[in-house]
Amino acid sequence: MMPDEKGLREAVDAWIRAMEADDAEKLFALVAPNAVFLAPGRSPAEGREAWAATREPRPGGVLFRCELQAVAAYGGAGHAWGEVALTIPAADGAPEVRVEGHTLWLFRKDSEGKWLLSREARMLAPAR
Amino acid sequence: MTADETAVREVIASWARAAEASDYDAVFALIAEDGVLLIAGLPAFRSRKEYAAFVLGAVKPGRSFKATFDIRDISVFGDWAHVWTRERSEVVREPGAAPFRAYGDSLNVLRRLRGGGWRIALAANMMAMEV
Repeated sequence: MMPDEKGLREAVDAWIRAMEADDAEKLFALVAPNAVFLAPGRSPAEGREAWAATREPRPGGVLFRCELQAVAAYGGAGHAWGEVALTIPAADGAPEVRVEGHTLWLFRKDSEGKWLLSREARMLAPAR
Repeated sequence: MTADETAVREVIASWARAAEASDYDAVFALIAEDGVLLIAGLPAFRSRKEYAAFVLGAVKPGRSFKATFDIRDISVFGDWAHVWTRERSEVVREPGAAPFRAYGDSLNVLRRLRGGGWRIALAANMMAMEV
């Protein structure tokens, strides 16, 4: 495995672990300052802070599952995509939410050689 | 703008032109053979062939499609490129049907083939109906 691919895989794994743990601090540390988050029917969240502000507290935690389908690194950038299932348990009178679908992540290596998420395309729909 | 950026822009522009002209062969020709297309609510299409079969099965004769593609951002990394586009489209499914509007972002990964041409390796389409 080329060094770039190893570094990217580690970043993707760290991202998925942090999503599973719903660990806001760890997630934030993996996002590039000018990252963009995209999803159907929503305005893009442009910038790490704007994205962080869209994250709602989830007192009941989340159940995040991702089956990675591909990871590729090239010239200081790369991508990964996976089949994702997300369950937000019922909490505070709100019903359980279950969504599933695909997510594409684009990564870049910053000037210090750290892999950071630069774009996310989240294509999740209510689970059938 | 670099020559590579121009070439990548041209792929997106060709896609828009071909889609508006309902020239599906021209659309499919812009996708790498092993290209992956991701759309919310649908299973992943893992090759040009799978995507083509879906599109050709879904479109009706006489469908009309008008769209504007706004390229928000292009970054080229050697033989790969990341492209973020915003699309706004109006579709009439078949002659006489009421038009519906859709809008949304797409995130695309393009790859340069050995022959030099750029193709779509991965496309994430986040179009939503306008309500």
